[in-house]
Amino acid sequence: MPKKPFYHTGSFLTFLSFGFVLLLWEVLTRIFKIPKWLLPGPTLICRELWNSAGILWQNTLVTGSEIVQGFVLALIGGIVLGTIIAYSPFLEKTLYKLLAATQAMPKAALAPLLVIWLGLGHPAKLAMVFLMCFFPVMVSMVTGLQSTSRELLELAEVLGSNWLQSFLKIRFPAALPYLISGVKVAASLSVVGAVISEFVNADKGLGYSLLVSAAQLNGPLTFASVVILAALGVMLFSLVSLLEKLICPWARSSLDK
Amino acid sequence: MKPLLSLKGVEKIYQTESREEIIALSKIDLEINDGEFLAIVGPSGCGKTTLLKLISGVLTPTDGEIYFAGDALGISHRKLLAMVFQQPALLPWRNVLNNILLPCELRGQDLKTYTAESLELLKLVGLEGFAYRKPQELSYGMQQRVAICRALISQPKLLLMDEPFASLDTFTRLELTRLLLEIWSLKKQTVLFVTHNIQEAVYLADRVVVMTPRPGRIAAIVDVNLPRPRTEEQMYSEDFSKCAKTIHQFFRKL
Repeated sequence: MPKKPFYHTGSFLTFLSFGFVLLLWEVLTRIFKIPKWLLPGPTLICRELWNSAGILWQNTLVTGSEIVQGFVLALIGGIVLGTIIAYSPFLEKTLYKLLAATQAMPKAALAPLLVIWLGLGHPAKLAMVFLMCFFPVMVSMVTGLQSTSRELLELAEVLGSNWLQSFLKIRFPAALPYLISGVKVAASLSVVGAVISEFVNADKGLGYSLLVSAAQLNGPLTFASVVILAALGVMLFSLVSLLEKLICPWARSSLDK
Repeated sequence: MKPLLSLKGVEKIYQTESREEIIALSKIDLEINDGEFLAIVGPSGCGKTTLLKLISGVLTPTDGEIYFAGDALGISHRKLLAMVFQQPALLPWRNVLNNILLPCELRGQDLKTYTAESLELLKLVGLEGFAYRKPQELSYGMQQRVAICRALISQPKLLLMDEPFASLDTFTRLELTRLLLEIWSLKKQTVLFVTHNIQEAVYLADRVVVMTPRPGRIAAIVDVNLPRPRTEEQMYSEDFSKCAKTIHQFFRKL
């Protein structure tokens, strides 16, 4: 296959479309003289990112640590509980169904309750991120483990492998592509969780700075916080995608076909 | 001669969720001799796969006994059996060599010794130089060859094959059939080959077990008196057709 010219490659087109939207945004705000408290242009937001870099960085550290810690806890919890449920028909009929039912409830509604239960500090925020991320991870773990092909399970049995062997060498690796897709969903939700919990009660963090600057009609700072939050989400998502390429490349190749 | 495997009055009854009983196999009496190539042929639903699962120990019979070399079949016999499925069932995250070594790994055997053996087997099936490729990079027929190597690595006394060539195109199928006969004459292990293809059964086997469904039972055991080594030419001979016809007649009555 001849090599495509660079301006036809997917990443270049993506880049181009982003650039176009930003340009349009900038031009429109200037032509119509939109006030900056209403909708600042990209250059104003960039300037704000630079000018308030110190305070934004402080807040990013706070929110970032909430996201990462809650996310990692959800990952561990989801994998462990998902594994137990996949191996226990009893828990699948009871606990799993119960957990699925609780998902119908909007988790944002729990944020004030978490403050009552866990206080004003860091733990309530961690819990919110955890609640957002836990379910997709657990469900994908259960589904992944339950969809091991019949032949592979029979093979393990004919070969006389014990429970642990067939889990470690066959079922868990076979479930990885499923798990990762759940982890990707969780990565995007983790940022939402952190922002919600900071909206409800916080004295630091990007969600807090977003709320305060919006109340002060400080458009550029509000948008700067949003930009950083989006960047955090994209970073976490890309990290998981990279991990996917590294640990289960076979899942990608089967999708490409 | 003492049979390698004998089934006496083996019966398997499944219970559906509505408490209905389905007789998958009824009163199976069968003896498989050491070194024999035995084919089981029958339409789907005649219980041939169930029979294979009973022998491999994945299922236990509802009634009757199975003996392996004179002893009641148990877990200790599992290392003397190997299985090839209709699907290659290779692990996509392992390369060809590590897929073949999986049985040795699960049994805690020394992998170094078996690595040389694996490479030897790959050469035998015509996949020399593919040891470090991933299964996805191989064609379906090649993957099935790897699955055969994985079965042979444990030097089984009895090789169980559950319609191993059913998903292959005609030419790949002929190629693998030829290869299987070659391996069998070389390694001298007993083969139990399940298929729904009469021609394939006659071409490969010493004896063909004819099974009929509802309930799954043995209708007849047909001896194939064709000289070995078998050639594809024989498929057009009169003896071959006669034998295939004998088998076919049992299904016409269904």
